[in-house]
Amino acid sequence: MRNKKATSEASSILTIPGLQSAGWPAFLGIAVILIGILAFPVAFDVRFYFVQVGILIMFYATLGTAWGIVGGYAGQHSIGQAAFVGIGAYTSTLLYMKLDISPWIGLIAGMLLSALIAAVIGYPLFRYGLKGDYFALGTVALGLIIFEITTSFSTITGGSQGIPLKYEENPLNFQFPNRTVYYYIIFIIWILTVFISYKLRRSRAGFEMLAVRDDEIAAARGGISVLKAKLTAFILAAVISAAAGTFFAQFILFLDPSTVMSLGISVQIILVAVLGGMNSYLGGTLGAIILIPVSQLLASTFTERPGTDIALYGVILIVLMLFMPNGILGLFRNSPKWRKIVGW
Amino acid sequence: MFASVLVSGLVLGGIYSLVGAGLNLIFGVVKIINFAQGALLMFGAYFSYWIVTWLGIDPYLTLPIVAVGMALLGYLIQTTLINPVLKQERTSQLLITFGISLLIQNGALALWGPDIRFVQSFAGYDTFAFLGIRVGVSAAIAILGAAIIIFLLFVFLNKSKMGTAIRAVSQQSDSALLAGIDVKRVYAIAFAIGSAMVGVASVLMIPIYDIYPLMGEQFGVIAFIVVVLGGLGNVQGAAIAGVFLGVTQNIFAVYVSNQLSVAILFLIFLITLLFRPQGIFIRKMRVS
Amino acid sequence: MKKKLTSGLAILAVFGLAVSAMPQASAATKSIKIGLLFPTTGPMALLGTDQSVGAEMVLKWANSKGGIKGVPIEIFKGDSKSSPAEGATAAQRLIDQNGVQIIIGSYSSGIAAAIAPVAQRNNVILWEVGAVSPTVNSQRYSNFLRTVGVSATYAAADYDFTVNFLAKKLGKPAKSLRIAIANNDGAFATSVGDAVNSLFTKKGLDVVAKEVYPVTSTDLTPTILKLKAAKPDVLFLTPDAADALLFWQTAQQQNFNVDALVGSSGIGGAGFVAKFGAAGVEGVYDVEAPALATMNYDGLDPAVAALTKEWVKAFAASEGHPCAVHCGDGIGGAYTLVTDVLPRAFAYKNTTLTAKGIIASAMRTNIKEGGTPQGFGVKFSNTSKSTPGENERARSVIMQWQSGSLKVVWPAGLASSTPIAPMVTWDKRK
Repeated sequence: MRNKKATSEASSILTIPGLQSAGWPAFLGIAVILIGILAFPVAFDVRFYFVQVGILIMFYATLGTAWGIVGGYAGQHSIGQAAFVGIGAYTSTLLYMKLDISPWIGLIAGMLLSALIAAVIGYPLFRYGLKGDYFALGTVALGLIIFEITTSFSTITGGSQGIPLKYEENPLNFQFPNRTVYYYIIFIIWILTVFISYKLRRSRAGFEMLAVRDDEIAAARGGISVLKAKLTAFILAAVISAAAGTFFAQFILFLDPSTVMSLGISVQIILVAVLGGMNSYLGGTLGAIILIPVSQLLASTFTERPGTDIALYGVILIVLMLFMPNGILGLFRNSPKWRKIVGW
Repeated sequence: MFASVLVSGLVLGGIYSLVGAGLNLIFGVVKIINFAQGALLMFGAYFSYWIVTWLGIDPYLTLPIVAVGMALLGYLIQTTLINPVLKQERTSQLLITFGISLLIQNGALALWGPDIRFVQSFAGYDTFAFLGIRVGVSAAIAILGAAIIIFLLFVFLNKSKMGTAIRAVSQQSDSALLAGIDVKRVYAIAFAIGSAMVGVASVLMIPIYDIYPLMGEQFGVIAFIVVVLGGLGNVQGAAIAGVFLGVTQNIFAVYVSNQLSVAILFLIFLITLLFRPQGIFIRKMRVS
Repeated sequence: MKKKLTSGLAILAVFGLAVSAMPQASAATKSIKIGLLFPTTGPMALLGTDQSVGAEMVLKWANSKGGIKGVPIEIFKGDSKSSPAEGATAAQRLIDQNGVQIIIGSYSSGIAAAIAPVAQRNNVILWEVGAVSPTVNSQRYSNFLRTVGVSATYAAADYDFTVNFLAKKLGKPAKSLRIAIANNDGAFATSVGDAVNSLFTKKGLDVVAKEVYPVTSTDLTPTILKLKAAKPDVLFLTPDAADALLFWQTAQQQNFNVDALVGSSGIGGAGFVAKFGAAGVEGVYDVEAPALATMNYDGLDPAVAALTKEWVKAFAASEGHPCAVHCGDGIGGAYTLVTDVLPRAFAYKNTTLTAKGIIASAMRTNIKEGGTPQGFGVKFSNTSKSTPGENERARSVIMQWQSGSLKVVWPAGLASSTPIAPMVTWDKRK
């Protein structure tokens, strides 16, 4: 009883009100949305282009959610995330093209390699206390180095000319006669990522990440290993990104450095996460749901003057960030009712 | 050949220092990762180009107009787009500058097309030759200009009242606020001066580099390496860092690997960030 | 807060409306829907736009002549944003949203490789007028048809010219010519540079230097200094647009002289002569498909020549620079499509146009030398040995900057001028 206040505060952070406390309307809402997403490609007889936009949304939603773990929870703004997308894509593709190993195995291999590289790179980055903008710039450098190396070692990677993937319709090759299957594969990757992000937020590890983000020194005093918290987040995000990378290479059937590891893609990942609200497990998803269709819509509208669509996209970005610097879900963080659902 | 390589590296380094000078105020003082740095450089180049085209004057003569115009643009960007989100998530500032970069780059493309444009100064493509070492006259002018502008910046920061305020804000913005400095205004002025210097860099560079919408991209990235290597807000440090990078790039290109000569800059950048994030040219970290 | 949320939802709603308002593709062919999918933003925008404009002019011309057998062409445009993934999405959009049956693209090999499977799976034709990498159709997609020559045609032209002209003119046996090869590390330049290198090495020529510089390089002085140290007689240079100009400027500053420089891409571009002036570029060679604005029309079919001249004029008027190589790729490719392949494709199944019909028609294409604006003929390969759908008659020619215009000088049949060698040194250019 003496420590009632203290314990309740600690436990309120650890077991923040989750979806359970939001009650059945939330669950009903989730069920409806998920059924809607699953039914979308088949129920409405939509053209594949719209399925493809759905795939792109979930692809970026996955990457944005993964980024939310390292950028939002742990507060480490990595601007080199595309490097891990690339590592995943190249690992599975090279295994498939050179050794005829199924991309499904390549998917796992890419995730493992990505974890290893994230650990090897992340350790010195965090060990030497690279913080804030310096960490961000460090990851920019990292992304660019991996990009240049991939381009240079063309005997292995195909260099800037890239690799057209072998197309053999066979589920074991990750290749399907009906491309709607890709929609469901990325759906699974996405929903798992969101689930991991949701669970993480409510776990000890997630709590530690938040503590480190909010006050590193206090967290360290409280017995939290700052290095471990940051590294966990970094590796987790890298592993998920690698999985998405393998998926993307198989879907596009072509791979070159600019497709998966350019700085532009790293920034796009941050964009969806930050616009949606990077502190929420739903942020990446919401950001992608808005940004991907907007950019597609702009591109199909302004075809006469190339560049107009991207310039307008820039304006939209500026305006959104100016008025919602914490992202869309950040608008809900002061409402106790909504917080339960968005998990800010 | 080594002497030629070395000199070419020094020349390139001088240009890097010039490009880094403007960012030193923006990243070093306002502390935002300005993704629009390269786009601003490109914009300054087009600015100068159009004046040259309309008035038919030597590009170097556009320097004052471009510098003032860019300063105004920088002031506007800071006051209307960056200051409102100063206390918000850092990512929002970063993405705003990214939006600005998309807007400027693709706006230029939509308005003026993808064509590569060029201007010639009075120097043309003339070269100085000495003992077989050759340097373009416009490159020499760019370096001389870089030295002057960096010196002026140094004097301004260290001798003027506003310069002192900028340095105070750069080092401890919170204490500066307590000391009665209008931090937002100082930021706006720093961004304005930084942009003006970008404009100066544009004018000095266009007799060497051609003008097209993506011309600034690579320099925008390199500017960060220069500033971090030299130490944030450290004007002399950045100047030396630029030269160091230029020499390293060209020596590496000739004697190790041409293809990885750009990657080596990123590697130096990463190593610097890891082991000496305060920059390699000052002893102590200024900010705790 | 509510307001901002509503505005976000409004954007989505607009998108939804746009989706529902999409035109449905008609079953009977009332119009032929063709998508132009080129990189018109990003680093490839400069020459990608030229290709797109060239192709569009020809499609519009076909419409002005009453379309294809009375059926008008509807033109839709997409932008691959210089990215393969964006290209793949834009292709799908053109197919589903606009119902295009043919995509004319793609300028770059990477983008072509990403669009090809999309075209195949949707049973749409990818009519490739720009990409040169031989690996683009390594998956042997049947819906892929390419009118331009692959990088091997560059190498073949280079080799033929070196052995049969340069060696004799420079007074050395071909095997004792010192040859240097330089390219940036981008997709196009690597493809050509590697093709030249492997052919020349295979044929036993003396390649004394192979320099690859980063496409993002800010200074080409190290590259020039290394090349200069290798003392080549002949340099084969494959840059892109911007680095071509920087290369030549640096070569001038470093007083780098070779007896012959055979460039490509930006070396044959309008900016090259505009920047350095006629005297500054005199004698520089360029290997590629012919530049339409300055080629010799004598070898062309007179009707084709007349049309080509018209397009060249119209292009210069609308774009402000001459119709060179890439514009020619667009014009040449689209010309074969609308004058030869499509009319016959219709004849197959009178009223409807199908991909199968187009492919069958393309396989019967047999255009002789001089029958297209670019001079070379068209015959698509259909053997199990080579990749299918490649134009076996496509070839590259050697051009030379002479008095400010890029003249075709080799092979003699298409030449509008005789080649001059060796090239003047820098000190004599002033």
